[in-house]
Amino acid sequence: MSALTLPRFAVVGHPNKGKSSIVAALAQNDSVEISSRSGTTLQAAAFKIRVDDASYTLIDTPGFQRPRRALAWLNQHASSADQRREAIALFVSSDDCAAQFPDEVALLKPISEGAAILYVVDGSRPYNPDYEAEMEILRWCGQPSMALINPIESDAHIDTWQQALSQFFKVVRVFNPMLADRLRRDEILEAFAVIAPEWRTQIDLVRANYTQQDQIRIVDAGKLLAETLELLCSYQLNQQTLSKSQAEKLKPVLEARYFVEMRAIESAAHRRLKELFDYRNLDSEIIDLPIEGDLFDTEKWVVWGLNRQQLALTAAIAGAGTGAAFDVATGGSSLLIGATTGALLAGGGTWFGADKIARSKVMGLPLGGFEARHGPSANRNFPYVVTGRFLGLLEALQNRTHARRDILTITDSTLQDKIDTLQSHQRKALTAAFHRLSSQKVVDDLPNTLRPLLEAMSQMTFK
Amino acid sequence: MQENKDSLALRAISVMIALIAFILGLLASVAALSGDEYGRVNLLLSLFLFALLPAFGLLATAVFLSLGRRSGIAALLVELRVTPKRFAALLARQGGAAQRQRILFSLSQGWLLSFVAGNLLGFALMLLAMDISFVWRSTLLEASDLLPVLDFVAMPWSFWSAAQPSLEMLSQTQDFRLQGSPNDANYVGQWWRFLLAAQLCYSLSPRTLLWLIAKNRLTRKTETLSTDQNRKVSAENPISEIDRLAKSVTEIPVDSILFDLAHTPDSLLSDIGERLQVATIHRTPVDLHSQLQRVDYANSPALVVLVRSWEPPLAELADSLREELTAEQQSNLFIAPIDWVSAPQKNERLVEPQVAHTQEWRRFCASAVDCTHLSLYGAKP
Ligand SMILES: Nc1nc2c(ncn2[C@@H]2O[C@H](COP(=O)(O)OP(=O)(O)OP(=O)(O)O)[C@@H](O)[C@H]2O)c(=O)[nH]1
Ligand SMILES: [Mg+2]
Repeated sequence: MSALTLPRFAVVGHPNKGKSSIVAALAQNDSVEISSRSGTTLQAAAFKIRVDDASYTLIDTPGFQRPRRALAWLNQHASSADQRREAIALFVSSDDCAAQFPDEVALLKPISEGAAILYVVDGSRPYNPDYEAEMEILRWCGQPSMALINPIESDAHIDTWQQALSQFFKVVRVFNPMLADRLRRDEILEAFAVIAPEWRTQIDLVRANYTQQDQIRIVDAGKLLAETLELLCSYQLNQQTLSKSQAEKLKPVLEARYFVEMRAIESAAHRRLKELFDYRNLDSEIIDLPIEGDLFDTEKWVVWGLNRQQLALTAAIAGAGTGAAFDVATGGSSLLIGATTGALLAGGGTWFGADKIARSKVMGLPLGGFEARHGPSANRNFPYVVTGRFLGLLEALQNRTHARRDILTITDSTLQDKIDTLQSHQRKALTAAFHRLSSQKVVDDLPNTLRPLLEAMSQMTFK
Repeated sequence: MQENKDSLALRAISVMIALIAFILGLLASVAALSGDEYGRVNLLLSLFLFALLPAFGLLATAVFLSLGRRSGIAALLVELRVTPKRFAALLARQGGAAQRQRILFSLSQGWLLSFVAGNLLGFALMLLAMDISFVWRSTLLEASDLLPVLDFVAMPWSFWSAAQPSLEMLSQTQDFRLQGSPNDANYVGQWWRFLLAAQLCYSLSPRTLLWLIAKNRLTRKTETLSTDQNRKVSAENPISEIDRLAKSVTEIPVDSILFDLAHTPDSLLSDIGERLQVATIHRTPVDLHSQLQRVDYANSPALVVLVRSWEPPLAELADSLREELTAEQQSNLFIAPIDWVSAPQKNERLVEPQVAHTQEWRRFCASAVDCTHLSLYGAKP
């Protein structure tokens, strides 16, 4: 092991004591296989954790299955303490051992190749001497090591474990993979640097980058929320038909589609937020997005979807152009007269002819008709609802770890509390932005307007 | 669907605005070049329209780009009252702020390009249809004052000598009202090359380039956005195989032999021993293997092994049992996972093991060795 190699830690211990859970929580990777059955992990699996330009590796391993017999084998192959590491090297490379002790070979191999040891025990159950064989084997490896007490059901026996473990390990920490927040994770990383000082530079870089990553995530979540709000608040469905009655018949169809698509937009945003926090397999449930009010309308349209005024204006300007050319041709002295008449003639003609255009067809395609529309939601409350739900998910993600495999139930965040903590200019900007959103106006710099809210929220979470 | 329709509508509106810009450009050219009754056109005004204005426009674009504001004049238009409301709404639906800026920038460049094209067309039409004499008038400026400025302007096309200004050209086309006579026809017509070059250099080529870049960035980004949306997370569900669970009993034959692998507290162990009416109890937490070899169980009806329910069964235990017991003995083997609580000043008492733990041990009984699960909790004493 040297400072040049990247930090590597093998997470080892008894079966079913949460080794994989600890890897998942520290690596923030929800694809690590975890189950209530023992013997879930059968092979050592390395998870490289990249945080920006820094990285370290955690190796998930199968649990010890034959610790006493493996220790007996090792004792036969090393008569004195100086031969122990060699005995371990022999153990992991021997075909015989691979057949006899597949689990031990799989878990010791990364350690004999230079990984440091993270030994995991269950702090809710009493210590007993059955564990000594495996701790002895780990001591033989001569690698930097620390113990993690995982209080699976309770913390009833942490004290006795601490005493027992300190005989074998220099550093002993309590770590609950189900509750680990960023501070707990950071403490463990700090302990890594204590047991393996050669890796301190890299580990400190990882820690610094994690802090930065937290900030970046908040900024990115703000951008995502802004994007989602803009999309949802302006979402509109339209369908063009030939007659008004056809347009009106579309009402239930458009309404149903509108609800489905709005929800799809929201859940896509929620999925992206989960991915932002490295949850790729997390299922969640939430009550349906409430969409209120009658959002249906029909309007006449003609060519290109322009209405009568717009069409007339276009024609007028085109007419003015023609008129101007006429002016030039007649000597240029009457510049404005020609142009103005041209504009008036063309614009007026189009204004009055709009209905005719609407009824005519070009190559069988109608040039005009009616348009059935559903949305956008003009409810003043709507942006608040979307934001509350989004922040509810954000909060839940920040309070969760990647070791959990249960379905996440998203509840609305209590938005008002968070808005109240903002400074008054931030609050005003937010209210104004939400008002503009619900009247379908473009909001400049929405992500930055939302950011104080998100920051206030994550500060509350981490307090 | 919605997205397609939106972008079509957006295109329709922007084409309309581009048309307007084109016509405005045409009109501007025509107006600037229409001249007085002798066909005399103010050179300085033309210069302003065809060279200075575009150059300033480019400068403004560059400044805004460097300030990180990428929306261009389209953003101004959105806020104007005359702009169709639909346009703003459509725009608001186009992805996030960044995407919107890209759209606005591309629209702005498109419109400016249309204006420039209109300009150029007007210029060409006027040259074709009329005999234009470019002249200039000034109270303060002399031909020699103007030349360095024009030379500077003409620097980019220094290779095109016919389009370069000269002192001679300038002084010959200076118009004095008092003089009244038309200027030298040779020179007055020559200015058009200079003006054309100015338009090509300061308007048409840079705007075309900007427009192409903007369009390119927009299509690239739109593609990545849509592939982004198509990406699906594939949740991997662990395949749950159907478990074979061993039979579970609450009674065993009397006079069995009990092995305690659970470090059971003394009082609890003797309680259990009494209840099961075992013949002997072996406390063998450390090495079952050698213990099994030493014990004479040939005459006993059954073997009971007490284990801690919460500790998962290890392969080591299965190895020992398989190695030391015959198949018949295995069928008379009972494994009893137990769990207990210890209250202060009181004896420990058994509690029900967790379901997951019991399942774990019953699976073990069925697969590792062919034995029976013994449930001690809840059995009648
Ligand atoms: N409540 C609670 N459950 C935990 C905790 N840690 C682990 N578990 C659960 O314990 C079970 C085993 O966890 P794993 O992480 O798969 O354990 P492992 O050590 O990797 O197990 P093997 O791979 O089988 O050796 C899972 O059901 C976890 O959800 C904890 O701190 N609290
Ligand atoms: Mg595991």
